[in-house]
Amino acid sequence: MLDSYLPILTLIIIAVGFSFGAAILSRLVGEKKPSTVKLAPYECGMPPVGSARERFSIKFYIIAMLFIVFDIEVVFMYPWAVMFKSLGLFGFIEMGVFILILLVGYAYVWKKGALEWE
Amino acid sequence: MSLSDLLAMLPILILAFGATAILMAGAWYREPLPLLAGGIVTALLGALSAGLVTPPVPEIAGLFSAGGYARFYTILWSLLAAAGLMTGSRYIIEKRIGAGEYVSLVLYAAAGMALLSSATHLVGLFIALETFTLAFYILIASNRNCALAAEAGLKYLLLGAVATGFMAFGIALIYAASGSLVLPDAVMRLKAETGELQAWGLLGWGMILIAVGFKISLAPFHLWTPDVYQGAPAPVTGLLATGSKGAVVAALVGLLAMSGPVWNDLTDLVWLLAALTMLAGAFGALGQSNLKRLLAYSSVTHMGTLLVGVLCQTSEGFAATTFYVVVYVVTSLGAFAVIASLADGRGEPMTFDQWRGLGYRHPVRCGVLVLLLLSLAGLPATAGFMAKFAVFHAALQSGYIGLLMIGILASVISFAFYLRVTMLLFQPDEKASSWHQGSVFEHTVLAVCSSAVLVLGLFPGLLFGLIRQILP
Amino acid sequence: MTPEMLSLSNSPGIFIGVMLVKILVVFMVVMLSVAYATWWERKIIGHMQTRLGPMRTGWHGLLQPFADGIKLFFKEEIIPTQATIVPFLLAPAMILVPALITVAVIPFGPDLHIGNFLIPQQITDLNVGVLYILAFAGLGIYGIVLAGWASNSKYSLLGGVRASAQMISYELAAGLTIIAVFMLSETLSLREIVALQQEPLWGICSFVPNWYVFTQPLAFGLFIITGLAEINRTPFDMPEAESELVSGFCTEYSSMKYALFFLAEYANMIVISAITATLFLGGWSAPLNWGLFNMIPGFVWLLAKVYFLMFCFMWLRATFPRVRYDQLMRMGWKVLLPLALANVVVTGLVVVVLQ
Repeated sequence: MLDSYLPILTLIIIAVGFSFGAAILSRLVGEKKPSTVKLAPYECGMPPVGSARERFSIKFYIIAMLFIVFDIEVVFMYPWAVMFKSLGLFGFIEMGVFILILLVGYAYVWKKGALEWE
Repeated sequence: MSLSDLLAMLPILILAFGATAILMAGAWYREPLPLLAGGIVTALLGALSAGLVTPPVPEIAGLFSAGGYARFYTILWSLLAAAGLMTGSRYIIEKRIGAGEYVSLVLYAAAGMALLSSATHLVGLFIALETFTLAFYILIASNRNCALAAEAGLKYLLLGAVATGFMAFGIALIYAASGSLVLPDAVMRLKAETGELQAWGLLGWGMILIAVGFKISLAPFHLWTPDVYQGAPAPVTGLLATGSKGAVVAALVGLLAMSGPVWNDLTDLVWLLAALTMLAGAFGALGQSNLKRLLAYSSVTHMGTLLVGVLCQTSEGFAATTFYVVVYVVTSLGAFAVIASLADGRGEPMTFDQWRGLGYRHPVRCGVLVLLLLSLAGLPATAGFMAKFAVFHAALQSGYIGLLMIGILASVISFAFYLRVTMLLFQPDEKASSWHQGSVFEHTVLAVCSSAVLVLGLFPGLLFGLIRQILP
Repeated sequence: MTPEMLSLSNSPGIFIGVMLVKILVVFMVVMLSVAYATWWERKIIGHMQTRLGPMRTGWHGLLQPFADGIKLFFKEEIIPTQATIVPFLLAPAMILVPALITVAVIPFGPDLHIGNFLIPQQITDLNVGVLYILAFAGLGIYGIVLAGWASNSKYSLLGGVRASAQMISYELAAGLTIIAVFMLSETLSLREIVALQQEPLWGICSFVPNWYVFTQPLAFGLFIITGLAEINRTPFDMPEAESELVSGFCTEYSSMKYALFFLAEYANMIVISAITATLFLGGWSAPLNWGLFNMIPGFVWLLAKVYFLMFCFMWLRATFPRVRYDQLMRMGWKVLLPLALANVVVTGLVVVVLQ
């Protein structure tokens, strides 16, 4: 266990150290001449209008929810795929049923227009 | 899972697959009436198959029982779904609620309730509970043009999520303490255990009790009830008030009857919950001026009374509780069906101002409502009286005199507000406006409910005999 | 004495030393590849558009990446006043770190036999290697969403939201696509997947290795496309579409933090190429089972395959226009997802029939 994950931990520490180190160092050596206009959000050179904390299209939320539903079903398929050859025909039929249910939901979502971006 | 397992699950499969088929059909054909008819037929088929097909195995995959008790409740919830669809038929067409979605969600909910009532395994319990709660999250908010419904949906979602959390943690603790998720087993091992683990197990049961408290709105977890009942469409409220609560109580009764007394250490707590719930419901209802909110508080009182029956942990108590569940389901569903049948373009009649004098405009349905309200109050010769009597009798035999007194006090208080509505209905009021005439479906449900209330009130032995046979 | 696998239990000192050497070497190779990928991309696109690309700094602009890096390093750092500070500062690292640590499970050669020990040429061999890759690939999305949201600029927000929707959509298809590979390999360990690809093709043709690109051509194609979309490369670079969203989620970033986004993009490109090479193109193994080829060390083959794939990505960028967002989402959900699912089913059917 530790054999496998100690290298990953080390790599994470190095990667995090690199990212923050570079950002902090550059802040220390970089120029600093802040002004109000410079620190305002970019809006093509015009004074910014309103806040960016606004509502955006519900489509994105729907996509996120669909992703969660489908992704969990995909994750269920990983252990099945790894064991597939030893499960044989039984495993294939079981997963066939599973995929069929997945497809029913997929067809419903498609027909209801949740995948449209007009 | 073998073929005999599948055969034992036939009613659930009919409900679930029928729901899926109707959902898919609804995505292509928007015509509501065939979808509703299909849903009603599916629900009746589910009930029929539960009644006629004898399951070849006593237990399904170690998760759910297939015994008489489970089949009894499967029939009850399937019929409830059919009734819910009939009550909602006109309502969803007029409010433009998606017919495919409504029908399939009601059927899914019925499948979940049927599974919940037959759970013998904590995982099965959890899955079943989530199945119908998820359906209700959507159903409550299904009237998308109504801000109250959105509010109700969100409230139910948030509290439901909290309750689910408690449930999951409770199950985890029980598993940690006893090493088993199979119910009689988990209880036995927990009782054999005397060390620190027992405390964890009890904490787990306590958490499950809290989750159950949220679901069936025991005080002090009942505060969501009036808001949700008021906001949800009346047909959905009818299902929510009856099925979702009845199924949880049924599961409790089933589990306790199977595994023997669990709650020896929690008895005081449950006693307190029951007393608090009865009083909170009764006193809360007194100040209401909205029929749906009043019925919400009334359901809180009834849940308290049901908890008394569960608390007895005798076969007498379980039989009384089961009887009470059936009676409460029939009566409460009927009351909400009256509201749904009167609903028109203006919405549902809710405030007392809207109800004043309605008895002269719609005498039949208001008469039915009065009958149902009196049954809820427990007037002799109605089913409600027999149910209350049976529960209080069981409490007396088990020696819960204090609780019995509180129960009777709550009943007396309830009489006040039920009578107040009754008088309101028949107060002469020139300004009383006419509401919708109601459809055939709605009148059928009302006829069935009111006659069931009368029959069960006059001949309770019919149902009691059956219940005694099927209790596990 | 038979050699044993070097592990923490039989000689902790050597294990940690070897581990650090491997990590540093891989890290340096990745960083250098990233640096030169920027130069390389500018050169390739330049020549494809009959320009020369960078020529001034060093011979044919070879020092250009360092010049860029030093310039960005000394630039002023701007933190907009309206930004939400903590996520704004964290976001660049949250994108770069997952990209950098995903390489840990990529094998780059056969086991080395030194002294009494076998040393795998891989930072670590996880038995859930592919899940590890998918998990960290998923984490990268948080960085983009946070960068877009925390900047409190409309362009950034749109870019971040678009990016996240695009990435999760294609991650789904990518996850489904590679299931077909595991159905054949029966393992999630990349080391074993590479070993399996060294066997004779379909058990008969011993000259050609059994690369999964031959058995799963559709999966290979789908994975390349979804990979491109996941790392936001042209033609799927909607999130940073410079002409409409002024670089999207990194509009408000400057100085080294902007450089980190840039690094992350190229690091992601290297990682996706390495994963594709490992899953479908035999990883570090030679393309033909031929004496001369087998003498070339494994990491050379791996790098060759990675650079070849990266060249293809750059070529695509020079060739294709950007797709429209609705086309992009439609393709992800309505074309790639069903295709990937069908591929799984067909693979399963064939395997069952052959058994």
